[in-house]
Amino acid sequence: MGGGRKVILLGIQWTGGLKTTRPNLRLKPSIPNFVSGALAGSPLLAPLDRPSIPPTAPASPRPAGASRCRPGLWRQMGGMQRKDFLLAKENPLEEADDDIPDENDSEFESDADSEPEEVLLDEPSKKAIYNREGIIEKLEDICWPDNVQWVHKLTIDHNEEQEVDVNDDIVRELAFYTQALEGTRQAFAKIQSLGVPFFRPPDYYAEMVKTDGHMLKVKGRLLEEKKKIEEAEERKKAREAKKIAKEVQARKLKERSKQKKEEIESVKKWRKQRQQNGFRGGKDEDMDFDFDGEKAFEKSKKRKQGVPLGDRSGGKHGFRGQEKGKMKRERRNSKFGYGGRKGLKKQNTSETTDDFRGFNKGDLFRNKRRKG
Amino acid sequence: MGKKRKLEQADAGEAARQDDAAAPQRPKRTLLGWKEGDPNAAEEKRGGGGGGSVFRNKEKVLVTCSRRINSRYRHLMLNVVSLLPHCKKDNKVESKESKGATLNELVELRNCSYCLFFECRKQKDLYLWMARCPNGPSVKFLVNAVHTMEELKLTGNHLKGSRPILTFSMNFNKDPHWMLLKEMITQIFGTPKDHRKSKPFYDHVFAFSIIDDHIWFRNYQVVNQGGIEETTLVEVGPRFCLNPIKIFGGSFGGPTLYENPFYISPNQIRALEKKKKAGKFAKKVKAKTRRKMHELENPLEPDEFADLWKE
Repeated sequence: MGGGRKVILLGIQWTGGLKTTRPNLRLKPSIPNFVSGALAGSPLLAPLDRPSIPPTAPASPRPAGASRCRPGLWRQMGGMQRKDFLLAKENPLEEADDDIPDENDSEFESDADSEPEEVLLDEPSKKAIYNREGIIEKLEDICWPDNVQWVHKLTIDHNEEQEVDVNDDIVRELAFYTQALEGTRQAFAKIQSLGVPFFRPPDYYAEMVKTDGHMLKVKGRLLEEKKKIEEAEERKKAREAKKIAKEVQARKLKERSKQKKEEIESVKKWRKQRQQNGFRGGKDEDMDFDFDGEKAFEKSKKRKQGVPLGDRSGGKHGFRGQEKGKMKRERRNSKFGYGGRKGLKKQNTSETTDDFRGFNKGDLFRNKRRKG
Repeated sequence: MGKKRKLEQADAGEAARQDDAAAPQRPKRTLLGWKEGDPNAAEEKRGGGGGGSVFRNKEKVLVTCSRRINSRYRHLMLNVVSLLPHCKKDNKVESKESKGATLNELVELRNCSYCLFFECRKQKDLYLWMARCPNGPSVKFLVNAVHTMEELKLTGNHLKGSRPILTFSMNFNKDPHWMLLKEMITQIFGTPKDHRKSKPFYDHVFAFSIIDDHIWFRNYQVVNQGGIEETTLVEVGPRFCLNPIKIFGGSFGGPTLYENPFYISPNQIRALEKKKKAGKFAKKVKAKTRRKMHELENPLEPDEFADLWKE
């Protein structure tokens, strides 16, 4: 009886973002064990072909996520088994969702060696009652009459194609969704055939399950999420643009240096050509001079406006300094005045004549000294 | 009230007039227009009591919970209440009392035929009782993976009181106890036709499906996008997962008809977990003593070169 036991983890982790709890943990006797129990011959045996850890793995209890939102814990506890599932399923999406590292795996694997719980595990299957006749009797008791029209029940049975793995959230939720959708379609056909409207008309307003305030919140959240995504994308784009800009800058620098090189090269070439043309010896200097003069002339033509003729640096060096000086002058002018007749400013007015602030200081001191 | 009386009076008057003239019956005016002339159906309904062949769903569900219930679970209960227009919500019931006949009495008092009792223990484990009340069976579930409608991830919405379409996975027909559960769920979660609080359109679907011997519940909104082929579903919530523990013959008690062979109570699981953690130190001590014993049993041989340099 005490044969190999299987631990089945009923884990869910909702992919849509809701972290679901581990609904429960299952410790299940192996099949022969089960058959020898009270349920021998029961069709309950059918669903036993679901994923389970290899029999070598020791039975160990895992915490049912009685309270919700503790995916980390269950993952710690069941990380090993879960990994096995994943390997079997090879579902990359699920794996991508695994954001919490299973760092405690090894620890718990080693911990699983202790087996004080064996006795407890055996009990449920031994005692399990299955009163088939009683159940059928009760079912007949409570059943609605057979000739009940479908409209009263609105039930649809959906035949799913294959067994669904509970631990794979996407597959599981998809199964629910398809079941509901198929059911809706069938129900729609049936209801249409009865001549009853199925969809509510767009102008039919009535109380909803969720209040408008709540829906506003939902909407706000959706918008926020959208905004977040957009922002992230923008950041990504900016990063890429920066990268590109760097490249562009590098290319520009390269081009500039290349151009410079080319110019130097061309000048050299020109010089050589001139030498080869045979203007050499005494006339060489003249030619140089001529050339220089020509160049100077060209440059003077290019000279910027506003640069005084006397500026020897060609307006490059002195321009700034002059500007500075100008500024200083202006400030001084604003402070001390500039231009115009000085005589008028220097005349007294009634205010200045009444103003004695400038006088008598010395007198006061002298008086004090005299008194003291 | 006044309006109703008026309508009745008018009807009476009209009937009188009709009697006089013996004219063909005029279709009745309703809010949405003229009621389709379906006198047979009306007769069926009226004669339901006498004929016996005609059925009318009169199930009423009492929804209540135990004291000291968690807020999350309480919200789940309220969500269920909002989904069932044919339910009556009652005050919290003392948890200990649920063992007795108090709940039965309460259900009878409120004229209900079914009861959904949310029992919370230790502020973390939620048990759901579904009981058919005078003398029908009752089922006890452990509720897991609870998400309420308030969660913002569930974006759907639907009319309050519109009748849900109940979809069941095929494995509900596999075993008698699943069949029983299916029947009970159908009667509890299905809104009675022509219930006065129900709305005449269909815009949500319940999905009940058995995976890994648990009943998973989902509620989807049917989004109309032109036709049935383009229809999509948006989840409304709540969602939960029911793990059947026991089925009893009576309501809230009676002989056990079914027992889940795989069920371990969360208490046990927690205890095991604790024990395992406690075992850590004991194991360490054990290892130490073992090592000591081993050392004592196999003492080191005296080294022949030990006092080589001491001469």
